Amino acid sequence: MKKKFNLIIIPILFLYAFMLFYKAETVSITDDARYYMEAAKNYSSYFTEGYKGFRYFDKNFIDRYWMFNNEHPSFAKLLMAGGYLFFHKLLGVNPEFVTFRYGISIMALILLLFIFDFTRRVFSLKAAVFASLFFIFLPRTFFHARVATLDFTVGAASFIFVYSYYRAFTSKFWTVMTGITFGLALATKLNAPFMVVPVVIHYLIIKREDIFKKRSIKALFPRQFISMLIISMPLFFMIWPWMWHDTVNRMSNYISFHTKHYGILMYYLGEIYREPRPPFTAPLVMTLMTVPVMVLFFSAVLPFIYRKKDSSENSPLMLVTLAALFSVFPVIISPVFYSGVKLFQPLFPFLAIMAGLGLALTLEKAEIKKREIKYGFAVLIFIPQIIGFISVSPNHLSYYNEISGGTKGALIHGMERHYYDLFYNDISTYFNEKCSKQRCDVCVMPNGGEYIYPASILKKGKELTNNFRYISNCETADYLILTHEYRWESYPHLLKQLKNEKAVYTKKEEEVPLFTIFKLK
Amino acid sequence: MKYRVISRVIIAFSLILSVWSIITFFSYKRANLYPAIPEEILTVLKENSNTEVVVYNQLLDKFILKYPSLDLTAYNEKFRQTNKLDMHSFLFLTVSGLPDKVKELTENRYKMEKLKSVKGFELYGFQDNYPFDEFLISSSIAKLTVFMFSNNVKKQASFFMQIFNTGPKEWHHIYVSKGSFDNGNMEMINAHPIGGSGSYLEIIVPAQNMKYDKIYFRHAIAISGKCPLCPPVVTEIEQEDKKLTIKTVAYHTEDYELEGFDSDKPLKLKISTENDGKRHFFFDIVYRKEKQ
Repeated sequence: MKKKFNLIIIPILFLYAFMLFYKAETVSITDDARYYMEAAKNYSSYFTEGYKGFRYFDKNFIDRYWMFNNEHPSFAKLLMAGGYLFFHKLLGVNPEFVTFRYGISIMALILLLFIFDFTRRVFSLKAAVFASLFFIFLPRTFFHARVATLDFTVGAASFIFVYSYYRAFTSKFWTVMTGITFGLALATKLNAPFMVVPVVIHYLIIKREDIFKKRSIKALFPRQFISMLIISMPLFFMIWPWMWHDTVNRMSNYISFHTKHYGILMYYLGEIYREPRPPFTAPLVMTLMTVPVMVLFFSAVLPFIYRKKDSSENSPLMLVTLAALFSVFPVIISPVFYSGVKLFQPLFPFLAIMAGLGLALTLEKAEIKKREIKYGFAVLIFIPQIIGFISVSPNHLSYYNEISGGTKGALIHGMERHYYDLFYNDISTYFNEKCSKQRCDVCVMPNGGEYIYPASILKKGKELTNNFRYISNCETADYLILTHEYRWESYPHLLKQLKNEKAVYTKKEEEVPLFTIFKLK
Repeated sequence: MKYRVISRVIIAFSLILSVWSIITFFSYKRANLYPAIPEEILTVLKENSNTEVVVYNQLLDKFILKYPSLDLTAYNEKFRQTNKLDMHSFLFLTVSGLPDKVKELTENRYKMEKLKSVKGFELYGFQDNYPFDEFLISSSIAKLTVFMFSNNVKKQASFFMQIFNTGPKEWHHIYVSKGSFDNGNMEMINAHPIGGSGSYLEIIVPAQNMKYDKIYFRHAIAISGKCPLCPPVVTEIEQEDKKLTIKTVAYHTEDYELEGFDSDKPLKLKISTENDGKRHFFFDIVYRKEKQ
């Protein structure tokens, strides 16, 4: 393994940081972010208040700050709390809600470093650069890196765990880190620990001779797995104080919440799914439709051009491929809802590496002598992805690739045009102007309840006028916001009911309406 | 040598793919998909202005606001299940052929004819051959009158955008939606939740202006509301001096014939879930008569 750090990552890192932080306040608020932001705020209070009388271990004190949103472990929310404490409390950055996002975005930068370093160490510098670029321009993943939710961190923790496992073959430090990173993955969300499956399979394949023929004790008890056994669970409990008291009961509640999770609606290929769930192919179809074409293409060409360097190699590509497959596997056996890719974020770092490696190997093995042609080609490869990325900004969850025909084509194929219950910045902009002087009663259909809290978060952050008042009774509302979402059975009906009302604003992506504001009075 | 050839083929292909992606990107950005219904088809639609027009889902947002005078309905709304196909005739406007589901659900019940095919648009006409004339009250929920009773205080539920608001919470609604039952999915009137101590609902179904031979009370609890130890949902149905009580406990839909009840007189339904608002109760009133 090459050990020298390469500075070429610095400009890519700066570019990614700029993309993540620039106008972060304009990114829509998702319906679940409010829970995590509130929990993260509570956690920060736990740390700042607990020193008075050193009450960090007191049950009542813990319950006060850790009860809320105890159905999810703490790690991602601790990142958000860190962002809030550092940027908002210490540096005074406003609006407050953006600083929670910063915690996740910083994790995204760390993940980029790991992607780059892994690819450079085990493949090549060119592959590392390409993988990094493919990764930062993945539209939907980029969106998740800018919102205060758990999903991006699941992907990041999973990848860093796999990275640690791989490096632990040659490093004691990373042996310890394997246990730590697996513990952090456990402490992120219930789907993160699935990454242990490809790791174990990879280990069994590469050490099969030692285990099954030589029956080596050392191979039977690899140090990475011992580290995981010893460190991960204590760490999981250590960073989640909610589990410190009444542990058995709370752990059982945590697991049962996820095993009995309520159904979420998903509109997929023209049908609405809850129970029965979408077909098992749905995650694969969503991947094919929402990942830029070039990333898919260069991942797919790898088997044709990759050749193992020597027999001593620990098959990094096999590890990456297994990890990619198994990051989708849990959602195949129990197909996803939501935007289709939210729950398999762990796939994307691995997919980017595969694409980066595919492109680097293609260039290397084609033996093109002229550098201008070689790099001109590389640049051309990124153009479709970058223009697609920019064109949907900042609504990256409306991104569909060229195979789908963009957002417009996806709609024709019967796909949902956006992740639902997003409080768009455009709603704030519209009402800040229209309701600057008088109160406006606004209702939202078809799923209004999810808009109350984002509205109050935005008001608190002074991003939305206090004259905006959410009301549930549309009969008395001044304005009605209709979010265009086919997953709601009532949507076509509502649209029909509103056809004679005055539409005053429509937010569109590629001419596809995302929401329409109607003036009722 | 082998890898060099493969790599060069990949490069060539990826160049084509890249250029195709860029061209496709700009072409779909610029493409104004189905900007308007062609004049020839519009003429047919206007000639049949009393007939419901079912449009392929994805066209709905585009046209519903553009042609407010047309009675457009989304395919997704209409073809979820056969029980809602209570139209004697309808038109189907599509841009990508007839969906399989439409063919499947109309196969035995409707005679289908392709009326027009212009600029990618296809218009189909459907005429039913069902032996009954059937009317479901869920297809005109607006005609119902709903009262809420709480501690003997009567209050009329407001009706807005096809929803009766029956309580302070957003989910205190009566509206038409699809429920999942042991015998499949079906669209009915969803009266969930209506619980609360001493609370019940009174629904007045108006008299029909046509004489029907039979009336059925279709009822079920959705799978989502399964609760084995919960009390049943009790519905009392009254018409003048006739009165009967039906208890709903099943998770599959059942049609209970209201013998002796007349379709040309109003029905009064009193629905109570005792103290349990978690039952996902669905019902419908089906009026049926043999076709002349």
